[in-house]
Amino acid sequence: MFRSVLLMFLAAFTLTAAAQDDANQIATEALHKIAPNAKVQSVRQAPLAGFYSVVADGHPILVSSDGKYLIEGHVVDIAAKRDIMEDGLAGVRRAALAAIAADKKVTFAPPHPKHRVTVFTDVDCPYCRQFHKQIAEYNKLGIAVDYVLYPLPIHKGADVKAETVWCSKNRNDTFTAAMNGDALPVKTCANPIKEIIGIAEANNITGTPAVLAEDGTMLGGYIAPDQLAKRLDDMAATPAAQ
Amino acid sequence: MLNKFICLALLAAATQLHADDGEKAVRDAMHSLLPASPIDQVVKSDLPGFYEVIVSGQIVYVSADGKYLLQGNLYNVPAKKDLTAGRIASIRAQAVEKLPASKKIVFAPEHPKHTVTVFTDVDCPYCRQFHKQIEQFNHAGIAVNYILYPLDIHPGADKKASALWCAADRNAAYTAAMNGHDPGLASCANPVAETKALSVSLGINATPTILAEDGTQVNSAQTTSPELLLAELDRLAAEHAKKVASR
Repeated sequence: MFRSVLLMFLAAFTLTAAAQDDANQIATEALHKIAPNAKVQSVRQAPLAGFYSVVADGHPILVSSDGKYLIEGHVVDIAAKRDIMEDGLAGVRRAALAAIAADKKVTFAPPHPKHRVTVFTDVDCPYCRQFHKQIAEYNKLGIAVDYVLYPLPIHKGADVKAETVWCSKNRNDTFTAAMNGDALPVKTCANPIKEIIGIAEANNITGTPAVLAEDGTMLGGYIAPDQLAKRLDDMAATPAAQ
Repeated sequence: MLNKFICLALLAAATQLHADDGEKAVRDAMHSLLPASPIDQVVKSDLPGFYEVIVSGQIVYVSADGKYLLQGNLYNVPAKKDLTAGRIASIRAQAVEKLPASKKIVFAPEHPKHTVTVFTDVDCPYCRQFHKQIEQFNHAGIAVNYILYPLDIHPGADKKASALWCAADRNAAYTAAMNGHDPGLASCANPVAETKALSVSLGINATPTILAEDGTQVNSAQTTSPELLLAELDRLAAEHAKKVASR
């Protein structure tokens, strides 16, 4: 699995295939010395000479190319005031989002969307409700919203509500009703909720709402409609760094 | 405008890069990123090509050319050692040792086997919880040095800390305050402002923060009973002895 993810990113790297194999091996071995169960998702050449930029379990990790040092955390390009680890993370999240089929989402979209976001949402999370209260505004600003149901364990019973939403005839209306706090008769059926939880956890998405752009950039938690539109416009105007 | 300034600063740093100018480049870079944060210390890091910078008790690593800042825990992989945690622990241990006992509230048995330092706040529930077992901790051979650290989120906790400090029997007043007794408004010369500033400068942002003798922060789950704490302190002491021996 992690090999195929790596191959998908290969095109964006400056590493040759052989160098990539070396990088994978050095980075994975180094990481497993410190965290034996960590699952490596991506290894790429970091913008700093002598380091690999690694993503494992959704966490950014910088590994020296001799495998002797690693640091889990942020790497700021001081002049640009930018976290360069975000590129690798976005790549991994983009792949994760791509792995969620359209029929596993609850989509609220305007006729001709300008932008698309994926929102990990929980029926019992206050800011998720706040976000959905304004769904018409997001849509009006040209933003299509793909919700994925991610009931958090801290919200008892949220999983039952999520399943009820999923299993109802009109998912969108039931989702809106649930977000309004309506009590709904419990429904059960085959559903993708476990799969979504697995994807979220593997990518260190631990809170809701989590708003992600199409390129995998984490836009944050709750963002007001005008701010989200501006952010997406800005991102479209400046092509993503590789 | 700000960006231009940063570019100029970095350019200046880059053109002056001689053997000993790494530290200057690092200081300039830090200043461009965090102009309001005073730097406590800049030293060469174990990570080749990087300097270790201590800001407000936290450690970051800045490349000698001033271009990149790394924030997170740095590991020496072959040694399986968290270098950052080790450095923070030793900085904290030194600072705690430097603070004289006359500025702490000490609850100690006669011949303590271990000493812990507890950053404490009268109005913090888990601090009270911890103090409920103070006799048992002492009985288990654990001396407890409290450092008063009233948090801003607890309005009035600073006044209580000063008042109990100024009581005739400080230890008794501390215990009473931890049992919910209001120590009143007594005032006198006291080290509360100093110990609070020290706590902040060490990057300690919660109470109780419990440090072993080597400065390692003890996980709160290990402090719920004297048996657990004793076992954890024994373990840390053995680990520390091994580290010292391997130097």
